[in-house]
Amino acid sequence: MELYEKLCEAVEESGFDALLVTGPDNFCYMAGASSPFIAQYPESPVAVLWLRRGEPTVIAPEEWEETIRTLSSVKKTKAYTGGTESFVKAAAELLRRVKKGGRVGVDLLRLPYSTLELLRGSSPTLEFVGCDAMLRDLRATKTEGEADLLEEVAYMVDHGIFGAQHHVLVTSERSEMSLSEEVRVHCMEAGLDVVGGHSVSQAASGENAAKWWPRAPYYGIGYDKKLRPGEYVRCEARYSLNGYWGTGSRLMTQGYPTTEQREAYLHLVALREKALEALKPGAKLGDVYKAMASEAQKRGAKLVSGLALGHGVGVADVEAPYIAAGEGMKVCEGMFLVIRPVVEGPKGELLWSSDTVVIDSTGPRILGWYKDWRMPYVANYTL
Amino acid sequence: MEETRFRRLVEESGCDALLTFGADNFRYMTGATLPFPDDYPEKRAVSITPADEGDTCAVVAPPDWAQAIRDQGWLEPIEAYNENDGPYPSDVVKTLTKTLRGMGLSGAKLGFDAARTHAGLLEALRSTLEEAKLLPVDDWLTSARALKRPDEIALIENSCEYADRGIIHGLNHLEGTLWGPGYTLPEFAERIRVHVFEDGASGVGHLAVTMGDDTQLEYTPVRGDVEEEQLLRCDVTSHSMGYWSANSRMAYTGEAPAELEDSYYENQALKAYAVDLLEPGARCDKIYTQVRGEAEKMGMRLHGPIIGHGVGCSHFEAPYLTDGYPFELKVGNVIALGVATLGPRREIIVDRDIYEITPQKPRKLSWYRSWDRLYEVTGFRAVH
Repeated sequence: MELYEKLCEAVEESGFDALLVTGPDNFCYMAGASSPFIAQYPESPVAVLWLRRGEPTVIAPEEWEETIRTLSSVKKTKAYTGGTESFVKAAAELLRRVKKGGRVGVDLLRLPYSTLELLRGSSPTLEFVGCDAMLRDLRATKTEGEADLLEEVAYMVDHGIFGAQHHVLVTSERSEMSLSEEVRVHCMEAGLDVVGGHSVSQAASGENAAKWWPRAPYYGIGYDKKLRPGEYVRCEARYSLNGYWGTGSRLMTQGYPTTEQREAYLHLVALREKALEALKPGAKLGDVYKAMASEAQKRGAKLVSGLALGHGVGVADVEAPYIAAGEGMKVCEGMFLVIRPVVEGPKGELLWSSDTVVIDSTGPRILGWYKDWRMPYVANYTL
Repeated sequence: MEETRFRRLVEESGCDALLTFGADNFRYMTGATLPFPDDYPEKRAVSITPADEGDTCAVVAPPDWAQAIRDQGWLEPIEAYNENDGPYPSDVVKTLTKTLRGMGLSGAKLGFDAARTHAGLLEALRSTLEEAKLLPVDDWLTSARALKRPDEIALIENSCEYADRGIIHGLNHLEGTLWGPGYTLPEFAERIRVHVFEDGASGVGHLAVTMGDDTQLEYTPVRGDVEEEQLLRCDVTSHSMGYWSANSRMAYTGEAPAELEDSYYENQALKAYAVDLLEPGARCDKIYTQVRGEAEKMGMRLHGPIIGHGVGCSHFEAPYLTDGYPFELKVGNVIALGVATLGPRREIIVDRDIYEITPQKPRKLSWYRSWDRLYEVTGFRAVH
């Protein structure tokens, strides 16, 4: 079943009289619109209103109406002029078709509180109820079309990172800035979308790899620090294609890895193996987390605390469900997950090598391995 | 000095403390720019600023953002929440509640930015912090942010320079490449982004590069090759240490046809008319209606119902030059003026500049280069 049919069916069976979806990620999902800019304009809300019996309608600022109609698979639009109050007025006009006392599902985990209050004020006979759980469940399992796209993107991202790593010579004194850009260019060459500030690459080496974001707030630009022999280098990238995301991080050592570097990497390999073993259809994701955390403890790996050990990927590069202690969702066929435990390296580096997997009927299948990542990429001394 | 100012502002809002959930408001209150917050709706950094100067401020943040906040000079406590207490918003709310209790604010009057706070997060917070009174203070925050200090204006001015240099350098790279070896549009867009960074910016937000018929739209996925005899529009928003500019520039790959040049000149004339209206005391809605009226007189049509907006900790913020917005401009407002008109084939023609409102004439902050005519890509090169 393709996405539009899946959504029609879900809305019909939802128990809501209408859905009003405002989060940029939820909008992209429901309207089929790759529109990366809308997240950056919270004062100009865009939404899809989907009546239980009726066609969906996109609500957009007048200046974006034609653009969003072109990008979206939903072709019916209602434009408004002005900010949030005008948006609410436009939504209220469309909601007049919902019977008195009707229930309108809204994504409360995206909708600003002030907008909700305005909606309640303008449509006092309607009940606005959270539909976040429904959206979370829908988004967690991908359709065939979504799956094909995500698989392609996962491969392109891995190819992009690996392609850039190929250019590195231990003695070439390449800078982090240059490597960041090479990752980006290779992802672009692979065919991924360049979407301004949304798409990010980063290379962090040696002491900089001990930070999540070296040189804040110059995020994803890279530092002028040169890569030095013997260092661990973390290469990260996240890019999209037609609104669907891939995210990756791959590790490289400057020369053959030391025993300590290899040991840290083998922790990551073991945690990946444990995740692959535990990610069986029907397993609770909270239990997958526990299995991985317990493996880390058994091996003496320094697992960085406070983080989920993986997450979903789709119209956002980090989305539900999470491989986290508190996650109640169960693994099911069609789920795309990124396995992403982070361990401390021998010199305090934050190390992760993220792997995208799809859950098939029998279990997980790793996607996008352009190289066998049971070993880090080892930069050479000569070409 | 800075801290005292913020404390006083919180006190003026009538609250015991202010919580900000929006990344732009977080930047305003803490000085720290967050890493790509728009892309992570289920991650939140929250600033807590008590009105009383004797009380410590604090930040609650995701574990992988805390270091970035600390590295930008935040000296007060940072409480990293645990993602395993989730899913969102339980993870944020658990640590936020604990932190507020620890600060003695559990029964306090807490102002918050309701236009940036997810309703579901607020509901969860109210259920764990029943005794607190949570009050929206968006109007107060918006007013405070709209009036820029000299240091804020300096950062915006830097950002304008970086953006304009990035665009012109990207265009320079196009020279001599049109018929061979050829450039792809993504490559050109990427050149702009990289040059904006190389020139000193700390981040790029919205980047739309449209060509030919696509210039009729605000954004299209960047695909295909740069072709000869085409109109190009580059819309770039970028920041310098969290202070944003929003620039749009136009070019033509070849010698622009007369009808397009005429459209551009007419747009420039209308823009000049609008610039003259940017003075303290002028009402935003009236500026808009005057410009719309002038456009009609000149036989032009505006694209969209807004011709300008503020920039600061966001690339799109108050005040807005649009109908129904009666705000009076004040000294210290900074406006991105983008008078968009339609060209001969309904192309969106816009040359967006940034102006500081001063007691005299508006001061142009995006002064790096004059864009009073279409940039024509007609050059050649041997090697580049």
